[in-house]
Amino acid sequence: MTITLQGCAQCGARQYPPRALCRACLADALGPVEETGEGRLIVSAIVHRSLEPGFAGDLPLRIGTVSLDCGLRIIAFVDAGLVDGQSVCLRQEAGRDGTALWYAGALEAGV
Amino acid sequence: MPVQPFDGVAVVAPTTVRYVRHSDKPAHWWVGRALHDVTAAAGITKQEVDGLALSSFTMGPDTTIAMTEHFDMAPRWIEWLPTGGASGVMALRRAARAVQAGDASIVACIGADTANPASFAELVSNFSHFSDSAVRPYGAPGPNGMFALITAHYMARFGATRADFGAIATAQRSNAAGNPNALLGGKALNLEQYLAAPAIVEPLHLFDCVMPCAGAEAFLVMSEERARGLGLPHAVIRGSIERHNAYFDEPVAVRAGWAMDRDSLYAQAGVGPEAMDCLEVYDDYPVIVAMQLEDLGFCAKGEAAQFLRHNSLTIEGALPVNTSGGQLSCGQAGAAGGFLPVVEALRQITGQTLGRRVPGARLALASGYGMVTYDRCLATAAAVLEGRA
Repeated sequence: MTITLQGCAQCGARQYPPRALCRACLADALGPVEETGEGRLIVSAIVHRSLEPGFAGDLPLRIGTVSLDCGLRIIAFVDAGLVDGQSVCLRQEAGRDGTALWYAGALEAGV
Repeated sequence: MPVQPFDGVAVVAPTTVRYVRHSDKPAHWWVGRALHDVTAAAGITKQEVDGLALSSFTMGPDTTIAMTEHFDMAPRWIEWLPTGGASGVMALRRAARAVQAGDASIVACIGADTANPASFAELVSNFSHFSDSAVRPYGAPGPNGMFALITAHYMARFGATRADFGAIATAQRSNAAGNPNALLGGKALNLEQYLAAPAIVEPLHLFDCVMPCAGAEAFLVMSEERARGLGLPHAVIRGSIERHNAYFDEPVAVRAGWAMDRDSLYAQAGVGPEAMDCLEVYDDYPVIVAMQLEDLGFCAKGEAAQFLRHNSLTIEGALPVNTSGGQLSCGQAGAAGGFLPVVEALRQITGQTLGRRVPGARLALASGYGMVTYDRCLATAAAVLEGRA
């Protein structure tokens, strides 16, 4: 499964979070690019208390840092059962307010 | 070209406007009180202050320039430092160069913030573009979530335990006893209490997190000649460094800019870490204290836990660290938290402490660390100060 990231048509760099220009060559040549969502769950943490009041009903939540094979790092929600250090696949799903958010799932699941 | 020495520059008048948990006063009140107190401490009028360097998170939309009008001043040099935890050392560095260059003769450096539930919610919900788009939607606005990840990663990689971080928190709480400005100074904290605290974002628990509050910290920078003329105990700057966005390719931060620049810091100072009588380091979370013990050369990378098992950070210990109690015990007064290390270092080495003093302290290292715009703080800075009574 692929994910869509921001990429530079001039130098080929990928970036996240999105920026106004290419972080590497500063070209004004950005557009969506397809990348594999595969990477590694570097580390995770459990949110018990959030400063965001809207999350109160959803706690605890597990978040983590995923290092993608293309070299980017993305903060994502982490599926139950994953272990820090394991290979994962990122996907996007609609979050609570309908915006697309990142979720890390098991690579074997093929989702 | 080598870093030019900070010769001829004096740092004086360590000033703290007493912290309170909540304040209904605007940040401008805290800036003005700090200006009042820091000039009074030096025996000068505010008209003699011809340079003004400010840092605040809650003064918006105003910046330094608006404060000149607010308080009837006509300085010939101003600086605005929107760099939070690193702003104190950064203000010191800029003020020192302005004095050396003759662009200002007396610079007031002030970090000040108010605090109420609305101001804090506004701050964390609108802190940076990256944080707003890529962190807040995951239920982790503010720094707790990202520093939980940094802490968990550090623990797994280097074998540090919660008890190791507890050694930092409890030592600093011990140091806070006797400091009337430490909001938590009267509340003893032992390791059992630390370990039993409720989880915030695991592995961070309550006593790993600073308590937001209102307050201000300030100091003056002027020529040594002027400081002597005013009869003020003062400190000189033996060396100083600054770095931003260091090691940006590393997936999770295990070190920060100090590691890149510490050789320069100690070369400028002409002494090494072993010469420091106390260490005043930015302490938003215990893991950052541990990281600085490594990055500033007190032990090797990954060995802070071992260091902490054999060296107490209390005032009576082998290496006194955060002798005021740090932000973990004083509270985090916004940008003033970024000034606390410089002000406390100045207090220790000039014999003007609020609480207890490290006996005979002469050399101190003060650091700064600020601005978690995505998943780590970007700004690092440090200075070695020497007291001249």
